[in-house]
Amino acid sequence: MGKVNLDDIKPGMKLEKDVQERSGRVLLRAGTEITERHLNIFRTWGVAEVDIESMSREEAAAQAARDLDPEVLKAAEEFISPLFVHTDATHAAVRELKRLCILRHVRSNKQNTGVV
Amino acid sequence: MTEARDLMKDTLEIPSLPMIFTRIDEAVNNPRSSLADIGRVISEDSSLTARLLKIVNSAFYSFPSKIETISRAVTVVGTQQLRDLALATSVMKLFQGIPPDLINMEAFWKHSIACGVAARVLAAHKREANIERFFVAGILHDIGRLVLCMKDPDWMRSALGRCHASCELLYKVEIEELGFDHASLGRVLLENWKLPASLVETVAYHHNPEAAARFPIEAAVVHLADIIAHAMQLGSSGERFVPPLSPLAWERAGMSAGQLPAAIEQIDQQYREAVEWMAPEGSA
Repeated sequence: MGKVNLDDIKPGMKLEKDVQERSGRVLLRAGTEITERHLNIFRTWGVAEVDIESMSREEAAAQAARDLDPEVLKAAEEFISPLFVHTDATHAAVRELKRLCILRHVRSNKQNTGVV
Repeated sequence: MTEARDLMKDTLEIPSLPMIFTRIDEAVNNPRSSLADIGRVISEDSSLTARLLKIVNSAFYSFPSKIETISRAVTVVGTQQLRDLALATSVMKLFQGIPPDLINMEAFWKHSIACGVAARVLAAHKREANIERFFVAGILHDIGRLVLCMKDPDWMRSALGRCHASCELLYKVEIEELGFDHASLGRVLLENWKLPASLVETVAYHHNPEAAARFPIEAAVVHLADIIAHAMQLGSSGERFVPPLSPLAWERAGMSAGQLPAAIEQIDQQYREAVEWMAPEGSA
């Protein structure tokens, strides 16, 4: 189904293909059920995206966004949006960049307060 | 209106490039020098050697085994790449004595590193050859602003105040009030330093990449990298806002919006490492 962004992966999802680090070494085999520990290993080895069974990037992203607290999401939007006042919000790349920065802001706040 | 060149006429207090970089550059460009010669020149500077070894052993490269010596690094990384990394790590020590209320140097270099890392990641996505030239272009892209802070701190202070009050873009205020911006000033500085035309043009056009005639891809990638670094709020160059994206540069960079999530994840990872090993001694 294609690559899914590491941040949108939840433990329990299944790998569709082998995960390799950049030099080609296999870190994890297809079919493995992903755990929190695997996600940390991917981060350590610089793996940013992996193939997940029956899940597209868009679906995974939408699912991850639904799990967020709307209040928290709104606060992040209010923080990030002013930075983008000089950009063209009709451009697809600008919209995607803004969306990603909002989600990234939510995550970094979570990490700072120790809530996972 | 003055020109960027006029401001640079009196270059007395403008730093020059470290001798070691000039010597590495000469060795790299000399068709007669062997890999061992180039390695020997680099090894003369022990702190540079240590930093370069740290870089080539980091996630920037993820080589399967540890690289212990510069001569090995020259072989596996390549001479031009190593030269570019040497330039990237040596410029940060050059600008000192800028009033901290104008620009926080640590934040400035963090923004520069973020832009460099972003340019490098985007170039890798495009499968460009020698991605370190994108890295060093990103590191240098705002260097004209440091010159501005040194040459005319009072003007800089008032411009920052104006932008703070009006929410304008600093580079546009530079053009409006001075007739040129920090990108043009960066061009003059890099020309004085006799750096390659690709670097000069990339820095000169990072806010209007459409005008880059000889190196449009490089300018487009660094333009986009600067925007991403601002959006991710890594460091600060004095500019508070995400600069507008040139649609033409986006096309030239050859990215799709679907590639951005992975790119941002990689930028975050490489940035965390790069900040550690790029920190000039005594500044962080």
